[in-house]
Amino acid sequence: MDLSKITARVRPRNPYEAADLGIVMARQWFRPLMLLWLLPSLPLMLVLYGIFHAQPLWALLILWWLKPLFETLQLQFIAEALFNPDARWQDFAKKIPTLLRHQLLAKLFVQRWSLSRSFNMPVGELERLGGSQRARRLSTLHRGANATSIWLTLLGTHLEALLVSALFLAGWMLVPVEMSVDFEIDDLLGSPLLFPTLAWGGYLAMWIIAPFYVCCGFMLYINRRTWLEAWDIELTFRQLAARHAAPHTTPTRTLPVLLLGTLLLLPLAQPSPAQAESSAPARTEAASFTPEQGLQEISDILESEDFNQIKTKQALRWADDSARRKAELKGEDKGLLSDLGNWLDDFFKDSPGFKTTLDWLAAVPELLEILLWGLVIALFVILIYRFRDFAIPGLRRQTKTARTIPTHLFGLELDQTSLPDDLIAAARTLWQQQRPREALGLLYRGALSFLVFECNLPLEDSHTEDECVTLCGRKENPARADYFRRLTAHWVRLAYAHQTLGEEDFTLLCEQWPNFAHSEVAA
Amino acid sequence: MTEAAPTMTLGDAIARVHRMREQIGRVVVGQQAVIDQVLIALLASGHVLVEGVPGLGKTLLVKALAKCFEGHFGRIQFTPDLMPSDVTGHALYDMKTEQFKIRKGPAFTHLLLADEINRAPAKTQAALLEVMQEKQITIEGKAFPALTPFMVLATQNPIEQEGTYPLPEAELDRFMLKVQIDYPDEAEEQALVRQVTTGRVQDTLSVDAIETVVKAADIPVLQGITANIRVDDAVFDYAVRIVRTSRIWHSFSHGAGPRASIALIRAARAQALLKQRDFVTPDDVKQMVLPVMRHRVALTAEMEIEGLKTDQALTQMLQEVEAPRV
Repeated sequence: MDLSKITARVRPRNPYEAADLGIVMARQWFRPLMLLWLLPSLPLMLVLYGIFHAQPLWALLILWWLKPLFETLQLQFIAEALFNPDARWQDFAKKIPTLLRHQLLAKLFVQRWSLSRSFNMPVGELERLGGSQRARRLSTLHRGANATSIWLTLLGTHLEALLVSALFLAGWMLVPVEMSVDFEIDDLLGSPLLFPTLAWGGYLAMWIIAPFYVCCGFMLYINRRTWLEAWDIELTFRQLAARHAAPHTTPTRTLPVLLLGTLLLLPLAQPSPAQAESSAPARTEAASFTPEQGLQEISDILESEDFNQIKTKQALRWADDSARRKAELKGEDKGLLSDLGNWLDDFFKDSPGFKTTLDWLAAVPELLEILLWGLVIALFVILIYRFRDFAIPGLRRQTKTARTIPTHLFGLELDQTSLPDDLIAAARTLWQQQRPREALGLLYRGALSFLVFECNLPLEDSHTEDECVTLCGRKENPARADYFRRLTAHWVRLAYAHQTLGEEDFTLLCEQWPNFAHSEVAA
Repeated sequence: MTEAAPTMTLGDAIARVHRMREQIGRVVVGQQAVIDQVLIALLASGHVLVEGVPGLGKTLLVKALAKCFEGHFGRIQFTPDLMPSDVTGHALYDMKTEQFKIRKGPAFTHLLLADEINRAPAKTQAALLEVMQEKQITIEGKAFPALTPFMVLATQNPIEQEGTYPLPEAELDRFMLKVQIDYPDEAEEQALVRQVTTGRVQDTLSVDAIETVVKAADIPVLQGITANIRVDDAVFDYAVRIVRTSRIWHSFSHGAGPRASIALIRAARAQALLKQRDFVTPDDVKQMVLPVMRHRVALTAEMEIEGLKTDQALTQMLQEVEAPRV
């Protein structure tokens, strides 16, 4: 990395400004960055989608987990673009396998979970540091910019979620106003297209956000180093030196500048930044410098007078109670109120109940803490209980249908216990007793009861006879539906037209009953 | 015409209604539900309010209906300057005989198509509604009976509400059914286009193909038979319960009145006849709830804001009303 070839203007910025610059960079190199992400990830996503097409969210999850690999390429590219504008694609392409292999496991398992990932990445990828060295370096870099990088990750995650929701909203908004689309949220959640849409929407969102995330993190890193290593000053000096090295066309003007430069250079160039990677090949004296020497020098400087100036500041603050109390005990303050206070103090100290009260009072905060924790736990329990039926995407549950089974339908008792064991015999008896209405009613009731309890037909109180027949015809086999249709027709004629059916019709119904109420057919 | 068959049996009635339905269906393609509902209104001697965009064959339907029982057919296009006398008729001074002559208006007919009834002012609407309710037409203080059967099919356009005079609730109540006429489905529309364009020059379907299957004088007999179709007490109870539920149902700011219960039973009877039955089942009632009640209830403001349609609200309500207990 050649600092002098940097294509951005280097100056110390605040972290947010640096992130802003990252956005500008991402926009500048948007197309190559997008392409770099898409080329490796799309085939992978297609393969994963093919494997997990029943549960597409798994494909998305795995791709999300592998994100550092794609972002490594983007980071390398952006670093090259920033420091080496003349870099060629071909050279970059050759490096890709090495780049992907570098710290592969660490990237996927250890570094993956850091919230400031985009900010940390350059340390591993560009400085090629690992293990404790990396940790130490990160602890230096994190002082000052870590919060912003965490916010960056959080913001990126939210933007991704927003993009996915926007995808749904866009679909919704494109529905013409004239079309009244009424759907239940349950229908949407149960739609077979939901998870594929979510998976591809999520992929799209990651693809769009990734360049910005990588560039912003990288710029935060560059900015932090600009602060630590005074890159702006170094660059200025280099420009001076370059001008100095150039042929002396105007010696009268160069000399004073050079002098000034030397004066400035002397105090500032000496303290080399702590643990910073030596980036300038021109800095030859740094090569003979061991880290121990560096640390020694740092501690020397820190102990020098420049860092140990004592300033006295005056400000108002609350009086220290213990100091006042001590003063009181020494008898320095003998006001009336103080006397009263001392007297009260003594009084309570002597009384036997006071000690226990004091202990009890001391326990109050603990008690409160226990109570609060209890509340939190109770809240969780309630929440879990409340949403116990919530369908977690991708998880199949063996749900028992919570449909309320009617016990009455058309005023008929449907409860199976209310029916006689031998329905047909009972019905025949009623028929012989010249009670056709009761006889047919019993058959009809038995049929409904069978449909509701054995066939799980979703019959409701508001369903009329014809609707029951239609529903049965739609859900059951033709033979059963046909029997039920004939039975209903007879029943309706008897109930509403008071027309009794013939003897042979009733006998036929009774004879065919076993075919209807046959559990194996129901299955 | 006087040779009407007052001794028409139920079987005859069913056969005739079935043939009427068949004949109309030959010309009016793809609107079977509408044909049925209009026939139901005719059999129950009610009037129909038809709502639908123009060009779905409303005129054709009325013409076809008139043709199949040899009835007269009149049509009034309602406009903002239409006067009551344009509907009922007026007295004209005849110079020759030096007497006032009554010129009868278009209301003197069997089937009256009142196109876009909400475009005329309330005064003119009221003149028509009087004819509908009283079955008589007053011109210059003289009352003339309307022809029997007399049925009004008023149409309303659901769009273009600008500059219209919406019918007040009390007047809407006079219409037995509100029929919603919608576009035919794809297969039916293909059949329609084929029928209209093959071997014809004009764009409209002709009703020439329709055979007269009953006489105008038979219609009152059919209406009489319809009124005598058996209704069990449980069915009466069901109809009344539905209408009463609409009054307390949360989606409606006001529910339907007793006229709705009456219309519901009448319509259910006609529906039973159409279904070739001599008794009414709860299904007949349930199927007639939407056309009978959709113009008699008003949604609350909140429900309207939520985008709920009257039909949806009625369907939801029906799901809560228990079917009859026998």
